Amino acid sequence: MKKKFIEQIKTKRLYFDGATGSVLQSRGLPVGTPPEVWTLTHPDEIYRLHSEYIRAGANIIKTNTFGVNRLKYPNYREYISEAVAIAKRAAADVDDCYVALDVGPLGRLLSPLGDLDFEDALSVFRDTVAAAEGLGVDLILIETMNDSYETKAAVLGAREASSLPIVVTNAYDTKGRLMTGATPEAMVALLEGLGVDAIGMNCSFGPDGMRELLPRLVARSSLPIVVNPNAGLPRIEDGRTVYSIGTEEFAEQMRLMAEQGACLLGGCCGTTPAHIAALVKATENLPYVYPQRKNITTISSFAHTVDFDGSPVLIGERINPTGKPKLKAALREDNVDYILGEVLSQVEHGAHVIDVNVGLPELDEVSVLRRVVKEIQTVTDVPLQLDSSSPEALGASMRIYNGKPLVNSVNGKSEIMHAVFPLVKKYGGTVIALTLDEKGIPDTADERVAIAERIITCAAEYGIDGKDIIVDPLTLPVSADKDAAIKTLRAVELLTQKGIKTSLGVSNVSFGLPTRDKINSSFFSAALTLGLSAAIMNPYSEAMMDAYRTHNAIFGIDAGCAEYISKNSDTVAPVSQKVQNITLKYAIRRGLKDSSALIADSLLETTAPIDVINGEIIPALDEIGREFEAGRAYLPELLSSAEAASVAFERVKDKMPRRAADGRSVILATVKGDIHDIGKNIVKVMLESYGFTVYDLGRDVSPERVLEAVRERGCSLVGLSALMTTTVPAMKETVELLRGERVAVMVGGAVLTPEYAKMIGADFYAADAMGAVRVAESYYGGKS
Amino acid sequence: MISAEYRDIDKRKIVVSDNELSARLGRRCSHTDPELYRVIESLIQTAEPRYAATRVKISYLESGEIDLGFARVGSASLAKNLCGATEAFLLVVTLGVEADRLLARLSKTSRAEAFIFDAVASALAEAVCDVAEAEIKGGLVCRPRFSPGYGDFSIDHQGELLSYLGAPAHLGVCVCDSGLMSPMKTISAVIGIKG
Repeated sequence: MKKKFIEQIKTKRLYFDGATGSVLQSRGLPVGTPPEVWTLTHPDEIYRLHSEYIRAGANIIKTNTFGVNRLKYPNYREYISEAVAIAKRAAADVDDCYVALDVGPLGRLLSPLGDLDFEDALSVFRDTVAAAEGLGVDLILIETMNDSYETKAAVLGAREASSLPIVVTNAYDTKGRLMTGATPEAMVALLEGLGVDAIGMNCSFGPDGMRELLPRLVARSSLPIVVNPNAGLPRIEDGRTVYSIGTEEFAEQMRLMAEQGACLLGGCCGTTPAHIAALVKATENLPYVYPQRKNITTISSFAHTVDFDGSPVLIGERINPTGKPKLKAALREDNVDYILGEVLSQVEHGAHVIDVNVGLPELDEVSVLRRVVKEIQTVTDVPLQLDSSSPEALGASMRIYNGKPLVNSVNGKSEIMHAVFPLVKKYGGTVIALTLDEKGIPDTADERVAIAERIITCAAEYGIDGKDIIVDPLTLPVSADKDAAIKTLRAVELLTQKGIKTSLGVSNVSFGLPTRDKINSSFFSAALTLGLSAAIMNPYSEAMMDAYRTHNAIFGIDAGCAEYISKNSDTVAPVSQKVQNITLKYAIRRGLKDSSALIADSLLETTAPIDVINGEIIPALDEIGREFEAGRAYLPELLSSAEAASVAFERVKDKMPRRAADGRSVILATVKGDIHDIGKNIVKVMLESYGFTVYDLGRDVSPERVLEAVRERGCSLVGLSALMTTTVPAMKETVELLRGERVAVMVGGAVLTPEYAKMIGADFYAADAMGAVRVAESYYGGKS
Repeated sequence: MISAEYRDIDKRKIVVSDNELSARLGRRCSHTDPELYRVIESLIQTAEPRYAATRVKISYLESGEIDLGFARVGSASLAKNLCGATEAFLLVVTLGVEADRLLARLSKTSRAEAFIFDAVASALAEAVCDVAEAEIKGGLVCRPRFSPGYGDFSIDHQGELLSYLGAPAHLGVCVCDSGLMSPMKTISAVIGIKG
């Protein structure tokens, strides 16, 4: 009776088998035919392959199910059960031979870069693994994934269907990253957080290539490492694919990797039973070293990690609705672009992590946080701090987060710990622990440290390692309690001495006082000196960034003071540039965004906002619009002008007396089945520059969603765009669905003509972006 | 399972065509225009252009279809393009996912830049395809490249072509439900070899 897989790998080296596809091709599998089809048509060949690998010394054989999933095979369950049966038959006569369910990539890219939704991918993986339940496989192998997001979907899907051990090997490129950007360090963080049982690499290149990456995995991973390289790089010779590395060289390279810390060994494309036999012979007498636990506190985005290791981590605090009317408005209007702009700006100013808090009472925080996090992941590779007092919102965002997030927060209250820790256990994450409990915030530093220790102990009961907890001993205003700062700093000191990582929301210390930055930065410096690991702060604050940089320079974190020098010796042109002697109209015509902003500000000091709009902005846009229609100006100029106009508009809106929205709103969408949105985006810019409120539903939008938005927003003009002939029917469907509502529909896009527009029942046709503006103007002009 | 060659593109060999640029930007321009030059350089730096290629035998069937190895294609325009060639290269070239990411980011922050970058990226994809073609042709005289979606060469064959080349696994290129490829700046083609 063999040991359980997880138990076995604690003390004994196991060997994976080698390639399936390339060997079967040499036995008649036609090029272009996936190996899995032979499970049903040539089961004997599959049995033969498994047996040969077992005879060569492999003790983990992969079922012939690499490409099997319900997206590609309607009868996937049959393929899986047959493949498992063959593998189990082959393994039956041997002691200690394990059968791994082989789960490969879906062959589709996950959104937002592709069109497969994360949850849909997850459910496909879940169904795949569920199909093998009860059939007697010993473990699940998720392999050859070149995308961290798909990997996460696969692991979560597998977990939801089964409690079998999970081994994950990824396919890295020659630059040492996954195709979608993840470093080995980021993958270790993600996968350890998800609680898999072994991690490593497969495919891509030969053992020599893997040897270069192996040290990075060994340095970070507390889990056993798996290496299944190809037999070198493929070449086409006389129409056949051949691999460059022979059995002896392969075995020698693998022996070196075993000595460097690789635990489980096997092969991928191009390897044969002979390769595996040579590999086993070369390594079977080497000592087996199970990895030590690495005490690394880290978080990751889809691309890279941020460690909490002595170099202070700056968490940008600006995405938090409290005290930010513009952000509140953006959230209510679903203006995600504004939020993204704020995220990117904070990163530009030096934030290492971005806090995301979208808690507004009137919003559905769960779906807003989920959506915002998804969008932010599209535009930046900086890790995020998911910030919410709703465990449900935390769970929803942690689930779709592409990486290992920073989670804000848990505290000493029993109810909260029991709500948040299961989420951290399931989705992975490093969690901020606030030192308060049912009795409130303790008065002394020692009591706060005690709560911290209780939280860490409770986390351990959930299987969460102390290294994944960062304690926030809470910052209270020094104006209310003269010892507030002292207590917090003392707590930081004590926690640091105990080897516990710390974080603070620094700005709170100066609440109620003037020139807050001065106090914040001083407090920040003091805390850093006592060992503070991270701070939630305002990266736009010069004083705070100075405190950070000077700390790093003084304490040797910024070696040679290089960072400090580069930031402080720039000859920066004075920010308050002399406003050129040009009109706003000119600046907009020329697409000068920054000048437009400055000139608008200065103009608004002497001119009424409405006059700025009617006297400068609109005439400028009309002029360039006419030039565009006449073919004397082109799209890039039109867009630059529109952006400059939007910027000016923002300035004007700030100065305008508060009045109800003028009701001139437009809903835009690219219809279902179409993912082109450049045209729609151009229309959006143009409409906004003319002062319309635009609700952009995005691309691939179903008719039902458009209807929902019309009702929700009370908007009476919809603009639909389609670039592909195949999606015109979806447009027609949308128009029909909207027929009962009091709404007009304009359509546009490369494939549309006035005739088509009429045919599908649209009210207006817009040939281009300026056309859309004219339609909207005349529609609302006629109505008002 | 690998059944083709996978290569990185040597970025130094890339030359963007002024005709392509002009067509996509909607006005007469050149890759030497300072502003466009900047955009091209920035895209080349961000992109990770790669290709997958293999060589297949072609047979012309009784039914009028063309057997290209990855599929049987019924297309008069493809037949016209191949001009009786009995062998062809199959090629998929991509600028990679980082280029898509850059475009996605720009589309959120600056529509003007997004439009320009998108147009230039398309021209760049064509230029990269030229480099790949030159490498695999190696002196052979070939027909002009012809892609699924041209004429009556159905775009439905896109997926089959990509699978045959192992593109999803080894190049990171796949087909979306809509029939478009992802990453977006990707070109697939059949290149007939003159007999």
